[in-house]
Amino acid sequence: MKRAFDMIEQRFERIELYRAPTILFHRPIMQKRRQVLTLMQAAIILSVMIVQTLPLDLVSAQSSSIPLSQEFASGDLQVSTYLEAWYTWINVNGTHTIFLALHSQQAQSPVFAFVGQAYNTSSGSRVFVGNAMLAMEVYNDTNKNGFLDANYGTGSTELKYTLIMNASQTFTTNPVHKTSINGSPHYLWGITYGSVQAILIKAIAPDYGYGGGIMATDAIIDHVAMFYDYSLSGNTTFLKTSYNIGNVTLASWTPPGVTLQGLSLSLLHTTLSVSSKQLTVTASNSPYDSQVNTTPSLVNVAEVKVDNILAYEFRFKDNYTLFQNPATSYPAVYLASPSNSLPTNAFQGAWYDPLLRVQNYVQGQLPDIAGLPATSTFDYSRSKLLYRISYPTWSGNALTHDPTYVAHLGPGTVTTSPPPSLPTTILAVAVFTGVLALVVAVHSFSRSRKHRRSADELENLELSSNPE
Amino acid sequence: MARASPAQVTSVKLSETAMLIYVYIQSRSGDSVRLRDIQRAMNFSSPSSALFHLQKLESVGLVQKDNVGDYRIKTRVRVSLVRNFLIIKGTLIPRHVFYASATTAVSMMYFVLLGQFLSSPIAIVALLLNAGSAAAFWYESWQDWKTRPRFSRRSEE
Repeated sequence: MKRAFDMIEQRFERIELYRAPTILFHRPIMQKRRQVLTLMQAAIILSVMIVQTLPLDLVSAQSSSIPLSQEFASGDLQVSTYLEAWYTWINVNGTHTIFLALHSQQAQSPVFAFVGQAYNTSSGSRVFVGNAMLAMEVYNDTNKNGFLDANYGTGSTELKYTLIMNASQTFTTNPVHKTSINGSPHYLWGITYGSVQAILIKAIAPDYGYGGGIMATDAIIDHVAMFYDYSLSGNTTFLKTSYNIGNVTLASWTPPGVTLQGLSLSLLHTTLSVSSKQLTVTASNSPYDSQVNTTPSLVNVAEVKVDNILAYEFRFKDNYTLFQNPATSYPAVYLASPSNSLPTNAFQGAWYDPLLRVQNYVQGQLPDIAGLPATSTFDYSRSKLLYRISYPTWSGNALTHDPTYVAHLGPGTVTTSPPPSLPTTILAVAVFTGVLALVVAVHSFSRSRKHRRSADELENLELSSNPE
Repeated sequence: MARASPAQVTSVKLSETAMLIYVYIQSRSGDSVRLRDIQRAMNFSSPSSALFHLQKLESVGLVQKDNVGDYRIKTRVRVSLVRNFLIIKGTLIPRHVFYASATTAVSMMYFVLLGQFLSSPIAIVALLLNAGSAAAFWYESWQDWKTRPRFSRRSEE
């Protein structure tokens, strides 16, 4: 009975009468402070637990490691194990330009670079045009027409060797920086592969050196550098590319008869053209499709049209400088090439694994980079425009060459902006305040429910007074 | 050296009706209250019922009677009946309304800031935590509002 009475007594609220002295004031204040501290501790612990429990990898997966919202940036991306890509990213006036150069910090760097540009055409279509150098071809221009004649359908070719760049000893970068030239903004960047260990492979059927084959000799290319000058003028962008290929020195054990003297060099390029609309390619004002045409075509300019509106130009009328004694300038020869100018199994050997990895990487990142659907086809071997930049006079000497690529944009149209990255600070604060509010709520509710009294309960007052 | 004597504590039990009358007088913002007003506010059939409770409150020193026979607060105490409320200009406002308003404002701010990141699970969790606590505070405010002490309107005529 007494216990039951005690329990009823305990249910009564105690109300203290604060007409008295300081000692009675201090106790509740200290208690409140302790309660606040306890609540804060609980909120912090719970916040940390929530953040640790959540799948934060999904958070990072939301945003590419390329800072897409920035105007320009350079840095490293992990493409696969032991393989990195050094990138340059430019985001200006609705055009997104991405440059990737493969390298490795664990092993010797592979030599491969890719540059692409996504933008809106004047017809409002989104387009992505990229190009990459696939192979260095050494040929004997027997008919003196200036370019590599090859038709693997008939088995005829002027190709003598393919020069496969196996690995470079050094990889140096020039991160993108912005400067103003004649009042227009220019973005400059570049990379240099130093002391490139290369292999000269004989052009013998069936691979003809593209996917592997019989080695003729080893070689060292002093350096292979690519520098870029990207500028914007009105609704046109210019991407001036500077190739700088060093002297090629054959190994001392090179067998007699294997030489570069008197031979020419051709750089085989592929283009990636992706658009949501009808896309056509013209070479010197005639429609051209490397997968359909069977004969090569000398070109001064190649154009990519989307819905019959000019979207991209390859300006192919310039000279290269050959560093012999003395340095001499020669006209470069451009050739739109059919797919039959390559063996059927080209680019399927192990040498081209890095190329495929970049292809997969770009395709995976395409929605972010270009604002195009991830289902867009990125297959180098199905390119509509394979082209060769030929240097008829070469003999293994160093050369420089500056081809220019021109993109024609829509008038200030920006339909796709890169997705912003997650504001992690705001998220952390939001989680913390949310947890704190919940903890306060739970604590507050348990107290407030005690105070909701039934009507017949008595108020138990403890009135304290100072002894006078 | 003489030690200070501890404060004397007297335990007093008061009925809820008495405390309701105390709250009513408190809600009149310091004005003195007539006996008949209290009778009307509490819906008593006669003033004697009100007088009984007022004498009880007076005996423990919570209210005092002035020269004209009206009652006013003598000592302010925290009454559990209205501990969940703030008395603002004679109106009982649930304390949780302020928490609810604050958390609602914060939730809306986060929604504006994080609205475009709703594909991210952590953003959803952050928004749910804030919105959930806001909803809980509003619910508790409603519960308090339903159980608030009610006085008859006739007393204010």
